[in-house]
Amino acid sequence: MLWDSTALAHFESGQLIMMAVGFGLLYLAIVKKFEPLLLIPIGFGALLTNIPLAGFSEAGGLLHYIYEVGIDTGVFPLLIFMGVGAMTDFGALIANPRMLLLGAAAQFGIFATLFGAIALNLVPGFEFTLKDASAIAIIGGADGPTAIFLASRLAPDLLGAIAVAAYSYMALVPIIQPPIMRALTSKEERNIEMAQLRPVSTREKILFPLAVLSLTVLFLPSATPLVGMFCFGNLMKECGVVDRLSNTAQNELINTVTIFLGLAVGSKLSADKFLTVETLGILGLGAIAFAIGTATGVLMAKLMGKFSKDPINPLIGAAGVSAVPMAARVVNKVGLASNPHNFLLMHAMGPNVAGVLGSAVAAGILLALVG
Amino acid sequence: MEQSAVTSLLLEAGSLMLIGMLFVFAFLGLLIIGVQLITKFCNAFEGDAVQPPTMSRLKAAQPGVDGNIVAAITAAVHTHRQANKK
Repeated sequence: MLWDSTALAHFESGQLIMMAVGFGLLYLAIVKKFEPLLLIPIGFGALLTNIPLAGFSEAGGLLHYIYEVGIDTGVFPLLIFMGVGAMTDFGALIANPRMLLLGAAAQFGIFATLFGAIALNLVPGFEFTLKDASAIAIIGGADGPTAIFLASRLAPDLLGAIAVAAYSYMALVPIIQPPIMRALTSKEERNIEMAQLRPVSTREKILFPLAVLSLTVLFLPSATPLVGMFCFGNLMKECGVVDRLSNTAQNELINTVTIFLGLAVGSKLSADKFLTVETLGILGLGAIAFAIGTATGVLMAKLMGKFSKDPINPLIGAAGVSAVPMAARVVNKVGLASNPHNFLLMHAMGPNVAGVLGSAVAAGILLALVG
Repeated sequence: MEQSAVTSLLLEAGSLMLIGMLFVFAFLGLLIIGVQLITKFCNAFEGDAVQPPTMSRLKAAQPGVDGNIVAAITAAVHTHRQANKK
């Protein structure tokens, strides 16, 4: 009797493997410092959900409810997006709005991966529908909340793998991007110094989120959950009259939601959902999405540099894949490696935040056409 | 999955890729125009600059201090704040 009530008698091999995955994520977060804010809750959630007899993720269990309340409804990723909006400074983008084109170009990673995910169906063992493929492709947007939001709408079964892939690759940006950036640019191109950005007035910063929202309302209502919350957060930050709300959105609230979002994502790391050949496909496709997005961003920046009267360093195109602010830091680092006096950080922030808008728009398009 | 089913899905994914990229570029392209309009608007109607601190209150608070010194310090603080503004 007593033996039957211990977990030892009920462990299945799948659960043990998934617990090992959970410990692996904790290791990456604590020792390697990979996106610890998310990988710790996700890893721990994975441990909890795979405990036999505890039933964390079954009806009545804590993680089950957290998932139902926060992710199934899409509320958590949207609240996070509001906080991200309250932390984002669009100054660099408003000073040089053409950088939006780089944010657009890098989204090719998403759509190319969509194609790739469908093509993977030719391999026996893979059966991705168009919805699955869209949810996988958004990993290329390099934007955690967007990926989770879209996956919860289109392919809830794949959510665990998609979220883990999205956050892992965001952590791996400093490893994935530089070789691609160096391969596509010459030393002279990497040395290009860019003109200093003009200062941007508070008024412009206040009007910007309102303009983005208006455009979304007019042309892409399906993206308004994401873009709307993002712009709301940004307006709170820039208007300067609700500092209390803005501080809450970018600190306490986003932290609270992150804890629950991570646990809920972790609860999706159960053996039957995660230990499939599809997960391998998702991990592979995610890396490809990132690589293609980086490449098209850099190529677009080269193209723009040919037609622009102000010099454009093609490296900043790589920041178009959002992953704020990591991608911009990587650009800065690669730029400094070839020219120690060339600080590209501010210039890369423009395409970087443009990438956030770009991937939210891409998510809206996928929701409208596939969802 | 059957070959024919995959082929039709691939066609669909291809058209989605085309439409999606065109739309992303069109949308963000419109936004470029939007930002340029905002900038024009802000340059055309410049709002009140940061309001200069009221001199009367400062003078009233420190009757024994030379007005010129107060003015110089005020100007310095103002410049400093402007320079350090986010």
